[in-house]
Amino acid sequence: MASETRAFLRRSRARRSAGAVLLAAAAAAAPAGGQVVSDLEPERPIAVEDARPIAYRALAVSADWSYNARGSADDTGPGFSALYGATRGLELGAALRYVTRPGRNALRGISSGDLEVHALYGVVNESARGPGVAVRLGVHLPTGLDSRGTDVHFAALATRSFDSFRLHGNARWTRIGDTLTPERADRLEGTLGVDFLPSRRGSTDTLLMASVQVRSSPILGGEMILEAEVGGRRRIGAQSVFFAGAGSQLSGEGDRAKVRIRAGVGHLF
Amino acid sequence: MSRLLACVLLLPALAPEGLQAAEEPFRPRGFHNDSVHRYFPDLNSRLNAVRYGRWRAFEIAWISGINPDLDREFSSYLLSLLSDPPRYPPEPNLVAPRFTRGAQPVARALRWGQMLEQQLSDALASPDAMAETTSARLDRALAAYRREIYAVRKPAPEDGGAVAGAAQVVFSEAVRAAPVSAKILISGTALFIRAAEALAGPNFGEQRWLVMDTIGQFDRAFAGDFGQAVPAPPAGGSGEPAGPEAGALRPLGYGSTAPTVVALSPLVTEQLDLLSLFRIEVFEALIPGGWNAQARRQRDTRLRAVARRYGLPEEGIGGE
Repeated sequence: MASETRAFLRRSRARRSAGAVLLAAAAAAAPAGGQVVSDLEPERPIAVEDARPIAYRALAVSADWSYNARGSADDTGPGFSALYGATRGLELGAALRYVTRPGRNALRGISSGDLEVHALYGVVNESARGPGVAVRLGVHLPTGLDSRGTDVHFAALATRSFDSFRLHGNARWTRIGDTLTPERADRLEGTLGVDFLPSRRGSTDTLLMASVQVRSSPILGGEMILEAEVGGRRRIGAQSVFFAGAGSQLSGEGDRAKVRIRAGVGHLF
Repeated sequence: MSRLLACVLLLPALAPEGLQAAEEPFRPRGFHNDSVHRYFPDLNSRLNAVRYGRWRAFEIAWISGINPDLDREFSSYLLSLLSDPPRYPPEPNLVAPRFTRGAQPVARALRWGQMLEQQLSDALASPDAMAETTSARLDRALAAYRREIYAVRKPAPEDGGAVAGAAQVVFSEAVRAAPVSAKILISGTALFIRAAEALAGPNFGEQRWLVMDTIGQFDRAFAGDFGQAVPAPPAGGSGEPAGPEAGALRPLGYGSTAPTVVALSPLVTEQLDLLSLFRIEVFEALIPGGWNAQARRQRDTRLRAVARRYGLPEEGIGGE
């Protein structure tokens, strides 16, 4: 009984200190700009993300359709996401993706209908001296079909702009909440991406991008997955953007996505 | 898990002072937003060309300084832009990457000022614009603008603070070094002012006619006298002004050119005139450019002085 009380008090103290840290972080959070094309979000259209939260008070919503050609068992489905600039430098977001064959995809570590919520904080702005740095904490809730446990991910993002292009680096660690015997619980991934304006006169209406991603296999002892993607974002309205991308898992298990195509639209409110 | 959470939450506090993510927020929400884009696309594309031109001018000047090379590069850039004007406004961090990261507070003040300028045009072009609604929208935009640390504030008189509003004569090294570019930039600002006055017309029909007339004038003479006030006659008689005034530019201000807009919101127009002056001073501070370490130091010192005078933070300027 006494040990239970001590444990309860410890948890209460931890919650209080986490709350205090959260308040301190929010207070330290200084003022974030409303960019339509250049604010990169994962899977919009490719995996890489820039180290820049969405502007304070801005709300961005996106919807897309993805198709994965896996040879024998292709899958397809829609994805939705919403981002909000909750305070200066802090972005809160939620994303949802549905894929066909949820049972089979669950075994590949691909959920259908799991709600992913995240917070992204811009730690350091890009300056003449160094790159922009941001951290991202996300939770995958088992709200979908054939979902098992709650997963948590932590990512560090960096962006450096050069005269005619920007370079992005993302490193991410994911802890899977509930695994089957052959499944890997801790997964790592690293992404390196580049984006640039194709217009010779410097128009910022279209942005092209490419990325290479390396990530650990969801199966213990499985082959490392190497994936390459290319894509583009094109402004189609004052605050709207169309995006499309294609990619391929160059290495991995036999049922890997040999071709992935994704297209969608986003709007900034 | 709780340790991880605590570490993540503590990371912002570890960020070096002055380098924390301190950007301006998203524009105020309202039905009027993007009205110029929706209802006056021809005008909007030219305003976008001016926005692109301003950012490009700052980027070129930041790298190479203000000199005849800039004049050639910038004027040919803007001419090509105007031959097929852009439909959407630029994203400054992509058009002027080095300037926006090397002179962060100044770039943000310019971007935040662009927001206020756009709010004025959109409020006036909105289909439900009436004197009361427009004034209320502009008051709200100005309140949002002034809440930010990147809002340009009037310099104190002892700090050499100039009074914005009236047409002001610009005698500057920058104008002498790059006369065509200076005229184009001043004409760009004049397009915003004249367009605002046209958009303040009493009804949609007259609005359209006045806007078309403004666009026509701008297209015919944007690099000429479009953006300049009529010169005051010299004290001793008629003809062209002599002495230091010869060849000087006299940019337009809302106070002298847009009485209807001033009547709707004198504070917003005063703030926009101040922003025009700030833009000219920033341009002048970039004269040395970034050719070598000495020029960069000189440029950064001048830019810090401008930032200080206008009440902006100096951290984040220079360091290349």
